[in-house]
Amino acid sequence: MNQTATYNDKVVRQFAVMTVVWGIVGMLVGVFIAAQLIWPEMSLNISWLSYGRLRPLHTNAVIFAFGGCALFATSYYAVQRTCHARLFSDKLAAFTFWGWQAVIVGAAITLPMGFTMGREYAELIWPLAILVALVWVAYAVVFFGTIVKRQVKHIYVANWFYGSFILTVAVLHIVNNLAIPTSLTHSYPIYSGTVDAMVQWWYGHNAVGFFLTAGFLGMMYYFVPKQAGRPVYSYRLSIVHFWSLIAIYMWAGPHHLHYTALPDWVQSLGMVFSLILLAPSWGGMINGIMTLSGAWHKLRTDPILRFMIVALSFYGMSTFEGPMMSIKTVNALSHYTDWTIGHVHSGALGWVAMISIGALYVLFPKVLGLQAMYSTRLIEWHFWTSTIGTVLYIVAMWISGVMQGLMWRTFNDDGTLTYTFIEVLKLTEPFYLLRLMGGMIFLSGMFIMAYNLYRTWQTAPSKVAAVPVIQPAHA
Amino acid sequence: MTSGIITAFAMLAFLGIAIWVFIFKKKEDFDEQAHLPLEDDLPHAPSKTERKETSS
Repeated sequence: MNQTATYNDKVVRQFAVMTVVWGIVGMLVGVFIAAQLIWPEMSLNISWLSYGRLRPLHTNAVIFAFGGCALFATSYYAVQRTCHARLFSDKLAAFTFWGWQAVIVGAAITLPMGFTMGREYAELIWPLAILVALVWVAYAVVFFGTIVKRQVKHIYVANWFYGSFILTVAVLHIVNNLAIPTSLTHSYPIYSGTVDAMVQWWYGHNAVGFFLTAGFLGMMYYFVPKQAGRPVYSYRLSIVHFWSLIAIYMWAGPHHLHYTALPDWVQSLGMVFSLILLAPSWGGMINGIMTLSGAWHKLRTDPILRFMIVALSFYGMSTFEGPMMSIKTVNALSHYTDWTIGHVHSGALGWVAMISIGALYVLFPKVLGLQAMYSTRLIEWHFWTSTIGTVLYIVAMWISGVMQGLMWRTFNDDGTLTYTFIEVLKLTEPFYLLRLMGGMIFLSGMFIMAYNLYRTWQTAPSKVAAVPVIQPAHA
Repeated sequence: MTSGIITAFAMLAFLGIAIWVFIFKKKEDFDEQAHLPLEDDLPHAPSKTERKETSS
């Protein structure tokens, strides 16, 4: 094999930096719309500042721009290192970067203008959806091409998770976006009625399962052992974790459609599969956390590791909460309330964002030719802002959600509703303020990260030497 | 009918994986794989990262 080969860290660096940039943008929009829910006049009657248009911008920006860039960066980094091979094609890798950024910019323009497919988490109009598909195919070619090039026999478990995430998202995206265009900005889905709803939530929940879970578990399986300096707690468990997640996740989507026109048996099926999901989820969480077994003291001094372990704890918490909320009788209370928003954010801020941030702090110095970030103290600050921000956010949404659910379903003896909508709304206001505060605190941590990255960048050599591919210890 | 057979097959396949991993394979068989993320920047590697010490 070529002894002078180097890793392609340029594309990793690009994606990693954009993760921070889009993280700030997406969370800023989130904070803005959280404030709008308290002070609706904030939109100043400008249509493209209205809540309905900015909310999909927020979700797309944090999931696909922030989360997506984090996944690209870490998967490209991890697959090269664990395969001891340079990325399959530099040109295609560059295409995935510029193509993905083009999609994000396109989303940031079209969504506020009101162009949407109206499908949750898949709002982008069809020309952008096609670009997403092209970028994704290129991503698959680069990723699996690198695996084919590997110098070691085994494919490390993180790559299995990343690989399943790439494959599944391709299938989900294409099936969910099948539509007949009527103009450049408008199209009709090929599905209708209940089938359409089911397709949307089959996509929607698997976007959670494979984009926001499998992908980030790949990140976890590489970066937690890396930062802890010890192998994952149980490799056996990781294999079973992988296959059980793959086998079960696909069927959980119907729990988003309890008590709707969806056939009752499909709802029950979705509920049962969601309940079973607790097992692999907790298996994975335990595997990650126990990796630190015997090295717990590291948590005291290493805020990066703390980011990862707290992320895993939030993962455990939200994957317990999720199956519980999928039980029909619980869902009767929780659905359509703020509890759902709280649940999503305990996963999105606590798990997805915090594991990404931890991984990025490991990754930045390595791709900048440095030993460590500019300041560990600032990472510490970031850790506390993230943790406190997330906790404030989810506690606020729990209280307001349960309160809403209980008040909405309280009836008088004559069968009329006890509380009017506005009465419930008034009572939620203080919790919306608390949520706004949580969001702002979390966002402030992202600014700390940006500053830390900027200072780290300044200390980096002006021309970062390419890292040579290391020969595997045993091929 | 067919879907039932496929489901049963998938379940058996999963059980097979679990049995293979926990009964037929020893823990040591996986040690090499488990160490993969720890071996990608070896101390003897001519890494540019070594010469710079940043305060932390």
